[in-house]
Amino acid sequence: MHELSLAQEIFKIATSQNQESVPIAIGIRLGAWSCVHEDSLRNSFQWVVQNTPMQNTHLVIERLQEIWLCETCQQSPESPKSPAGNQLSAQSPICPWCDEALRILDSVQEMSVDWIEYPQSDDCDVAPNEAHDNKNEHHEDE
Amino acid sequence: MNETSPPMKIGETQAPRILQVRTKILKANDTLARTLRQKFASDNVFVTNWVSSPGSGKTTWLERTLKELPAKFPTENLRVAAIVGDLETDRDAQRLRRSGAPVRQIMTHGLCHLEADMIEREWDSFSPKNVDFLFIENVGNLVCPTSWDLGESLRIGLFSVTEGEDKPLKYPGLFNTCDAVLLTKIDLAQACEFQRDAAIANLYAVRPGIKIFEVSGKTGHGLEAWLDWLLAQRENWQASIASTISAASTSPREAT
Repeated sequence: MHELSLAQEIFKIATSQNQESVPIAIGIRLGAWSCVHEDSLRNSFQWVVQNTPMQNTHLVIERLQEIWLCETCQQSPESPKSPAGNQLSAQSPICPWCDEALRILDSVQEMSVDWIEYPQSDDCDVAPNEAHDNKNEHHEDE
Repeated sequence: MNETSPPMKIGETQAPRILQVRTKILKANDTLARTLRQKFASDNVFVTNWVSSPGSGKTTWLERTLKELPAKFPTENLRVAAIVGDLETDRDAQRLRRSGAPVRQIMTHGLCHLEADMIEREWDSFSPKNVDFLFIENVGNLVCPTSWDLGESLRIGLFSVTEGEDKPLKYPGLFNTCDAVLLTKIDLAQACEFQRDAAIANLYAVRPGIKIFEVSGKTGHGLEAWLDWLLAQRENWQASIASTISAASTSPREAT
């Protein structure tokens, strides 16, 4: 349950932004190998923010794909291949051009708070619940 | 709506504000770990963080290392110590103290990994501090410890032949962050029909070129090479610190 520790850190980061309004949503970036279960993180966050002004704030999680680098040709192939030539993903990282082993870039471990969405200043008087509802309606319309 | 993109508008008069934060979730831990690393360098203690699943043989191998490292290099007068993490009990610490080394036990009471502030608390109250090697045995877990930097110089992963050769593929995140891996219980490899070549290929798949040791806590297989490597790593670490200090002291920017 390390997601609970992460949720607590996300809450601390969000509350340290010195903004007057309550966040509507928080954008999270998770690397492919970050070992974070998205549902568990969302549930943990809901637990952390309950009975706080952020109880209606939700997480928008972006899962990043692995990025490989060939140190020989300095290319980042989107489809590394296996030694046998089969197109596989993360587990057979061979450069398709050089046949050299690929190095995974650090972004696979990324865990970051990318952005925080607030209601407009005019909406500061709007209760967080209402602002959240408005946004949800808009998203559904899209 | 594509949930991966931040929404730009709610309406003509209710467009939300997007504040770009771009902050690591574990920034507080990372910052503390960086401070800890500097503290360890200042105290001249070389720190390794051992991660593995429960039952891989961490404690057995650590017990041997604590006992055999100073014995193998008597002229170096090496002092070793350990901090060990478990959810409950101090059984591992009691066991490791048989080596004669000072050992601290952290009981996390449910937390699945160690964090930098736990190590800081232990190290700040650690006595004596004249230690050359500090070994941190993390909570047995191949997922959660991945993301928490403890201020170590090296991260050591362990997996036993009884766990199967595909462990690195199942837990690529953790093995990708390791600097070296110990294949433990190698004395059981034949009985387990362990496919050594596949295991090594799988490790290279998630961390190309990683240093691998095949060891047995029971027979001592691989101990000599492991201890030689540890000592060499510490010497490299000391040289890199000395080089950094030297570069800083002679930097024209510093001089002006």
